[in-house]
Amino acid sequence: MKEKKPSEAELAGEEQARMGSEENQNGARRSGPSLLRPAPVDQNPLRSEATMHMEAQPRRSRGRLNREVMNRLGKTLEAYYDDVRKEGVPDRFKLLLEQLEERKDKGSSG
Amino acid sequence: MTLAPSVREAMLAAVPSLRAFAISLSGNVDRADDLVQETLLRAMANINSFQPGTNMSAWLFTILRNLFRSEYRKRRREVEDTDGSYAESLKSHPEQQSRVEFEEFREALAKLPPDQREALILVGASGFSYEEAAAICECAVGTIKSRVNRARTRLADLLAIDSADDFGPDQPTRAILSAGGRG
Repeated sequence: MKEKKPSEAELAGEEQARMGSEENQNGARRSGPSLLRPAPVDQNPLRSEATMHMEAQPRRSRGRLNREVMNRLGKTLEAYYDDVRKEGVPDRFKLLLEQLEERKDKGSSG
Repeated sequence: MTLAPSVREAMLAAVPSLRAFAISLSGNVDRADDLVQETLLRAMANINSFQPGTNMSAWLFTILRNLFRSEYRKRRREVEDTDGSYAESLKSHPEQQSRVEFEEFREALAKLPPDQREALILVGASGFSYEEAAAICECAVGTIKSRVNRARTRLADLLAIDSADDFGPDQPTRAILSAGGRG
């Protein structure tokens, strides 16, 4: 039954309702606010890999995602990417291009 | 005749980003570097089909993406390499915290369907427009948009599974979130 996709508006509404009610209910037993999900309530945090791969999970905490979450996600993605980018051009690729050019030289002009 | 210096420079300039793209796609540095190498080989072999003045980076990304896709089809049955070879290869980070964060992030990224993963990376990290990403992936702009959206939603979901408090506990964001949650 949950698999029927609710509309964007419905999701947004649910989300707001949850953020209001569940955050309060769980505020006491949760040590801190969840960064990426407003209130992960009855989602088992130790879901197995198999479960995580399933597309059709109950869409409880999805729907319209918190803007903060998206910003955070975006920044992490950029940081993750830049981490590699900052390594610059490894020597092997500089050498490779030189070699390819030399080879092309011999091939085309000879 | 050797490459025009500008073409050569453009190719080299694209390598860092190309590697980042390849690592994000494959989750494995060695595979990624092989992909980049193969991409450069193809590019050089077909350099005449590159039109000077057009986007070298996008051209190379297209080649790499296609190589990855054909390789992926071959390896589909193999288990994704999530053994941490990426983490091991990482250079030291200024902050310990980001290391944990990246590792979690890499694992989550690896769980996305390839379509979504590449769309998210191209738009969210490589700096391509939706239109450019659509051209690279040979699909409609709307398709890219929906893939990016689904990828974001999925990632947020995956990353919240592990203790969300461990995921980049930066105080300002938490303060905002907690304030928002109570309001």
